[in-house]
Amino acid sequence: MVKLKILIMKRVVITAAGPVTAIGIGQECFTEGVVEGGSGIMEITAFEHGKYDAHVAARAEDFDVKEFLPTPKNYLDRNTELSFGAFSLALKASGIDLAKADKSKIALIWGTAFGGADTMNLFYADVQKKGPRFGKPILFPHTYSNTAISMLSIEYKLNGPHMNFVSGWTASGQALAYAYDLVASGRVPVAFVGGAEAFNETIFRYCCSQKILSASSNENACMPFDSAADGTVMGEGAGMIVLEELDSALARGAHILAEFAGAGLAGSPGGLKPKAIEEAMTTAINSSKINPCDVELVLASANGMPDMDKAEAAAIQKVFGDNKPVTTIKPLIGETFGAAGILQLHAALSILEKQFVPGVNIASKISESEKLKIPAEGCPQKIKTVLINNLDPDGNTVSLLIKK
Amino acid sequence: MPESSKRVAVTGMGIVSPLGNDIQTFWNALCAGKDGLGQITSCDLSGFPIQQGGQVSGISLPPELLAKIRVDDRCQLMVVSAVKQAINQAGLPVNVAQASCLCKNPEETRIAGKMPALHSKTAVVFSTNFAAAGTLDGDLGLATPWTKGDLGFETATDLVADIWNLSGPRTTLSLSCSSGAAAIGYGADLIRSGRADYVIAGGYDAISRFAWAGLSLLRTMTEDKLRPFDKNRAGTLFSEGAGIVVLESFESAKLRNSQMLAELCGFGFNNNAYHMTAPPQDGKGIADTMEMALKEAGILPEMVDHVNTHGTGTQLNDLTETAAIKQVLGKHAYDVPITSIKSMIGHLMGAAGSVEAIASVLTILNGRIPPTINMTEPDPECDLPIPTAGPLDKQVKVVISNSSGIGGNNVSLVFRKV
Repeated sequence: MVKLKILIMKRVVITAAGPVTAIGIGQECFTEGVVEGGSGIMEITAFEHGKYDAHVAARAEDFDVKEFLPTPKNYLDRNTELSFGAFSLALKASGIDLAKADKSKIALIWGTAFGGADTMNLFYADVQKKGPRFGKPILFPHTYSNTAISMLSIEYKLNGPHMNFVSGWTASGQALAYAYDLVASGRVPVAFVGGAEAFNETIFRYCCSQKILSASSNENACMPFDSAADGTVMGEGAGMIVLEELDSALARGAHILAEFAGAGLAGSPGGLKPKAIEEAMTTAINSSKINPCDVELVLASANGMPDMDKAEAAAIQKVFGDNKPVTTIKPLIGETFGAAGILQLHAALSILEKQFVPGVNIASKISESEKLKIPAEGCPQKIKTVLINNLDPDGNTVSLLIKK
Repeated sequence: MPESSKRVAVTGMGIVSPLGNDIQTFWNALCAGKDGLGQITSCDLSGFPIQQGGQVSGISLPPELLAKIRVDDRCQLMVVSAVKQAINQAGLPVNVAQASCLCKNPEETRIAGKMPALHSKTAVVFSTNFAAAGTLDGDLGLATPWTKGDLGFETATDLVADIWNLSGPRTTLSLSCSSGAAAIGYGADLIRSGRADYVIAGGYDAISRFAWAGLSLLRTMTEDKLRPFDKNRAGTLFSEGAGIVVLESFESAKLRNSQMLAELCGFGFNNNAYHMTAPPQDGKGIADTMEMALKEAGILPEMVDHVNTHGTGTQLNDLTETAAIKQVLGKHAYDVPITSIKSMIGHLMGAAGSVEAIASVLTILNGRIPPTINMTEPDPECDLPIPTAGPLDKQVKVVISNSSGIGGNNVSLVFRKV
């Protein structure tokens, strides 16, 4: 059991949210998507998928960066485009007037697993085909994984604390935990925090080589906790929330969506194991000073990768016992890697707002999840507290606790 | 310290660099003013206009560690070697592939029971710009099915946690050339917040064709020598390597009877919010991180004894960094010797900040400031005191180490003598 030792703990609240996903852009549309339960997974149309072992993905098809760019840009990687979308939505929802704010006191904390990988590919294609001197100078600065967060800083003149996590699938979960620590400890009053992951052929080619994707070609290909699952489905999206210290949020009359009550981090050597998931969950719960029985819903990281789902189900069973309500939104938006943590947080906000638990249609539960209460259909439920898991197959674990 | 009263010590350090693959060799070379830069042969750079830089060679690892790494990813060799050194120096109670407690001597085993939970709380925090880009040549930019290239940033971080059987969180950061310092600063935050008892933190990067294809285009590489703060400085030269430290609380270090090499007492990090590849002329961004780090440390500007600069040797960086130091330290700046070890080891990309942090700690420990070499004509605009003829012997209690990077990121770390 881990005890956090932050001495001056301020209460931290979420005052704005701006998701960009396959099922909705903006918190309101996204929430509708979560409640309706229609999957954003569909056949890949962005490129010819026939030669690969996977054929579907959840791409943010309706996203058009032009709606979100304060000034025109010559070139942006899709990852940066999505980031601009999420930031712009969260900023607008927050009601914060950046022109009047002390921007050196606003933290910008970001996470992505693959960053500008597609621009790396585009840039290097010229080098491979034409020679070492023929990479396009305009592209190279867009190949960095910190390009998105840097461009946001430059565009919005945000010169405060600045951190870019690339910790694989837990990148945005770790970003959220760090932003929470910064605000809770009083180092900054406000943090914009989130993450992004683009869908493109470069990352898709890589993921196919890693043998993590389902071979199924229908929109129900992402099957968390299901014994028939053969892998996950790539998703795409970006999310951003505004974290504020409670008193300053109240003082400016901000609309409070939820309290960010705790976070836990752990890791397991040699791949993801239940113990590290248990430790992250327990730390998040203990640091928020509640009892495990007060957690009314676990929003799982489960994504249809058999080993990950088994480890997570076993950990939830161990910490909470029988009949704990559990769900996941991966069947709707796919596995979004570095953006997964923040997008699950957006879903937790939807769940708290609508008092509604989305369902997971499981044909045959894996044995580890047999005693968990996973609703097949979406259903209303009274919920004040949601625990979010954000996991990486290599063993990194993050849990976040959100309260109404 | 707003977050916690917990003070953070550096108790172990490890290095792989163009000037040596252990701390003593590296430090001796720095103080001797040795030039570690030259023709690069560790990576095939044929066809690139400039093939000068700093490469590492001669890393030796025991077979049980060699067996665990991917040989075509040179980063892994560098990282594992540097981590091994840092863990050994710190006497960190971890062991390869088994979770046994290896205390420094038998007397200490009796207090082992009082130590913080060991393996469950050892975090790994690494940073890199290019990660395993050296493995991507057969895949990136080609239309063929993906083969062996590693697109993940977190591979080396996971590898170290796996090799030493560590169950703490692993974090990978990427903030271009301020990365290495950011990893150490974030690592200290993990100790202060209680999220980890020990942190293995630092940066790494290897020279690769991908990195070179891009860096060659930025117009920051020079065909001349790397001459930080010289009037005729014409740019930087890039290098490879890894710099890793072990961080823990003062209480933990005292309990383990581990030598505290220095205190990491201040961490400032931000973005210029100005331009992707150029710093603002007034140096405001880096001045802000210096102030932020000093404020966190509770140290007044006049208490600063030395600045280990980012000092890349580009016209813009050295000018703006000089302006920033003057802005923060005021008149006292003219009493504070600064140096750029990049003049000797080059710019280690994602490792630069952590390697310079290590040099800063060594400066405190040895009371000696390494020289800045290749200075032939001082720039009147960069008029702060810089030892150029040889190392400067001076008692140093407080050092600021600065780092900046593409995208406009800045990090300042403050180290204090223990």
